Amino acid sequence: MMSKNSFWVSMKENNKRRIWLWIISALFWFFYYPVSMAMLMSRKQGHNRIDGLTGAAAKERLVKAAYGWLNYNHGAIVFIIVIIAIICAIQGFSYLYSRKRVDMYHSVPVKKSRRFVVIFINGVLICFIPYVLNLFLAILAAWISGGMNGHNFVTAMVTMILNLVLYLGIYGLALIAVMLTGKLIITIFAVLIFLIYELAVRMIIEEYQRMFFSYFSTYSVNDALYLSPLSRVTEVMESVDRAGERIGPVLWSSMPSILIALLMAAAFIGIAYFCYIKRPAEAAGKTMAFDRTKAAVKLFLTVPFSLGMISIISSIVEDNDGFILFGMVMAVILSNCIIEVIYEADLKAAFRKKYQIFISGGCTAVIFSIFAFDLIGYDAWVPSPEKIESAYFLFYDVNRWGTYMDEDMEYASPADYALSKPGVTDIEAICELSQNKASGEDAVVWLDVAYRMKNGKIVWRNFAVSGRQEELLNRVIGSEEYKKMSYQLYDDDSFAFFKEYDVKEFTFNSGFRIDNLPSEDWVIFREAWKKDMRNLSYTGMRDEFACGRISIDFPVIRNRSSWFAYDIYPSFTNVIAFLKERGIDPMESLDAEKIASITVCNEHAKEREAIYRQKLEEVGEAQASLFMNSVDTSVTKTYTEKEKIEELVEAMYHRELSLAWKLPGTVNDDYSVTIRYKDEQVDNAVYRGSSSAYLIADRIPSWLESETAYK
Amino acid sequence: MIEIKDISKSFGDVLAVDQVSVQMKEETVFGLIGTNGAGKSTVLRMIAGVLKADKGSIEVDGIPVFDQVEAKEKIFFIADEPYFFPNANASDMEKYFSSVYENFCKESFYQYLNGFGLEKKRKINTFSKGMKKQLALLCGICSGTRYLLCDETFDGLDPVMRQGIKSIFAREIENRGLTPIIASHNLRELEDICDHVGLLHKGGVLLSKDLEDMKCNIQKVQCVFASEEDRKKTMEGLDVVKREERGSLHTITVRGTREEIIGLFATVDTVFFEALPLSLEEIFISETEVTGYDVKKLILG
Repeated sequence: MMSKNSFWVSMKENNKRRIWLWIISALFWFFYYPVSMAMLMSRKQGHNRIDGLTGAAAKERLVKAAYGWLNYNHGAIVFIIVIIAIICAIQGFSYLYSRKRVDMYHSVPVKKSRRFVVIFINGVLICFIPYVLNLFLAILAAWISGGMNGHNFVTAMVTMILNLVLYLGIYGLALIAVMLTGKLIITIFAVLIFLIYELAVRMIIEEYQRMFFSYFSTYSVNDALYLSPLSRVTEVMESVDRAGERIGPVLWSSMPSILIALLMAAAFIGIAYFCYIKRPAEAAGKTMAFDRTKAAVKLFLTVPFSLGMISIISSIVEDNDGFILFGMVMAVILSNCIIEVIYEADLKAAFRKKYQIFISGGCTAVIFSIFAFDLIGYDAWVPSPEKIESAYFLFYDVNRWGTYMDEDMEYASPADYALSKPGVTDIEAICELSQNKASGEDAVVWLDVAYRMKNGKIVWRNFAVSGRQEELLNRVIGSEEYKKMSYQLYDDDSFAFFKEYDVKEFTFNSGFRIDNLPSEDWVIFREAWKKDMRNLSYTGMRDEFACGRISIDFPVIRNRSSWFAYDIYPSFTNVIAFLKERGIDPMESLDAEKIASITVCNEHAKEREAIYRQKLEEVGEAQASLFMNSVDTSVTKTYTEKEKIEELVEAMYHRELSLAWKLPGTVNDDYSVTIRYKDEQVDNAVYRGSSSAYLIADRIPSWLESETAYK
Repeated sequence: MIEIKDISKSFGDVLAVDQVSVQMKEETVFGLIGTNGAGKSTVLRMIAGVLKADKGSIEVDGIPVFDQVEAKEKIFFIADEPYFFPNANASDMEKYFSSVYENFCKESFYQYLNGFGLEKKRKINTFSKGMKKQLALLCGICSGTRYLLCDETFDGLDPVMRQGIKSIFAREIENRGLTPIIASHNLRELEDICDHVGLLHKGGVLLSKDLEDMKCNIQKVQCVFASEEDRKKTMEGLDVVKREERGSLHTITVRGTREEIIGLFATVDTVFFEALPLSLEEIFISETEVTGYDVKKLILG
């Protein structure tokens, strides 16, 4: 016989108080899973009928649709789980907000630990019993309709487990918020703060680094949120979603993340339990349950808030130090006063704890100074040769073409990919390059550099170097390591993986013409290209104009599509021979006969700037900007004469091609060129209608300069 | 026995209870009296294990009470505003209390409920304030606990109900040794129900005594002296607390045992002499004036 005061009786009694939550949860999951699944299957069956799909194709459509609903559903289910976890945590322990209820619950002979466990477990069951039951009903509905297979079932189970981990994490976090506060509205604020605090602080620090550190590299920003179960679990869910049939290995490799999320949930629940046991009954109705936490919470809120406000103010007033200082003082005072008023629920209490305002102001000023005056020597840092193991170089104009994939066929950032490869080990060249930072007009090559230190640490810096440091750049950029970290197909390991797949598209783009190449020949191309690339130096990339670009587009592999695009230079004899064998001459220039007209627009940016400067002195910024709206310094001319077209073609460099590593002034930015082709010359291989180009500075015809001169 | 030793409790900067020591013996009705803010509710909430004392100790039958199920099983606390579950009826409350109090007596509960004219299926939120207090009392009485802590529970009960509760208390005291502890700001609410009274003021205990002991030490007599000489002689031998004269009729409140006073009056010649019963109010006036307090202001308003 069940004891009157048994655990199960306690569970039952507690559930009686939470019956509405059970009903809402059950109804919600019922509509989310079986009802929606039945509707989805019915709709997809209708589509199959309309499209006349039968057999495997019809089943595939149903399976795909069911998969879409049973997996993490692009975050929809994550959002719902978060909301339910917060509601269950708050509702379960909401009695703590009311003195009347605390008097009753805490006077009856039930141990606090028992009450916590009962409410906690019921909070989990309220969400997960209806979830699991309705999930199985949805699976049944999909199975009856023909939309289930083993993969979908595994996905549904994995999603359920991940949702449980996420739920426990958010539930634990929300429980801490409940235990630390004594009012519903404050609890809700606390939950929101817990969820976004790490992200907000990270964003503020990043913003300050951007604002004050000249050599800050955005690659050094770590997106991972260490204290967020939401971030950790959604990361795994996304990996599982991308994994396709490889769900097992992906799940296995994600196990550390899942375990960390579980440990975090356990830690949050443990903290919440400790706070519950220690929470005084008189906390009911007060803003903060523990007086001791008030000062710390205030400090942790006011300092980031003030720093955030300063960054907003400084972005508005820019270099006005007086305003920034005034903004800092106001932000500190305002945030402290608001929190104190909330704590005491009394407007008169705003300035009651003046010493806390001073502490908060002091901390804000210290942190601000660390960044503003670079007290940590961020910009002054140069790598010490004895401490560096290797270095990685990222150049935007190279890295932006194409995708990088890691060994699991997951998208990798250029930085992550590069760091997975051996770095450049010419320490002398690395250090010299790092010391010879360029500025002003000389700053042409902006590099993000990751120094791998001997202690395993990675240090990122972003700085410019002069493109004229040929010898140094040849040692670094021309190195085998640089080519492997920047051009994925150059790397033999990557190539070995990709050659297992047929390419979807293999094309050559000359800037005005795109030609398809036999897709099976891409392996041959790669061999030729690697030979040419091996000989390519920084000087070559700087001084040669690319004569085209090769693009290799892979089909979707494990839910990911990847493509690579590499510039072809005139010195690439092997590639040029490969192309010529297939009927493409990359050195062939655009035939003037095919061109109907060339329109050249000279923007006269310098003249425009001069007019603006003059007006600025006369009427001020606002009026000058307004005035400039009516000023047009551009001169546009269209040429149809064959001779002029031929001369212009000689001076053109197609915009489709890369300007990576080119020195400033190589092409004249003032000119923009639009080429219109004759109708009869337009075929599938040629850009339809028109294309655009730069003009190479030292090839601009003198007649063009005079005809487009600004008067 | 509930033994409170030197307990203190502060809420922020406010010292609500200051070094209170009281003993509450079994099978008596203990009255805790004091003005609003005197600390009665705080003391009761500490006895119930809701609040933790900053200093001192509270033991119920030798067991410390805070978060101790064994101690709490002996206590039922009725707060000044008893809490009932939303939309609950008396039957729902019985089910809940049955689940937490091992000895909750359902039969007695429904019997009493019927006797008090409270419907078991009627929603409690439709009850009057007095009805809610009756229900809370019935839950407490039937919980089977030895100690019943009532915070201002008798305020607002009509005399018939008070009498009904009083007789239930008497029966329960006799049957199972119930010990009601009743806090009130009004002395008159308690005078016909308490055996022992503790007076709280500004967080401290002014006095804690058995009513009978107090009654033994103070007497009220009405008399008409045969002569002025008899009056003078008598007055010289009395410790007078209060004296009123209406013509030749003297009403005198004096300290001393009944035997002493009657003995003294026997030595003088009186036309009329009668020893009268004292109200709790009169006893308190005499007891607290020793400590220099004007008890009328404290508890009679």
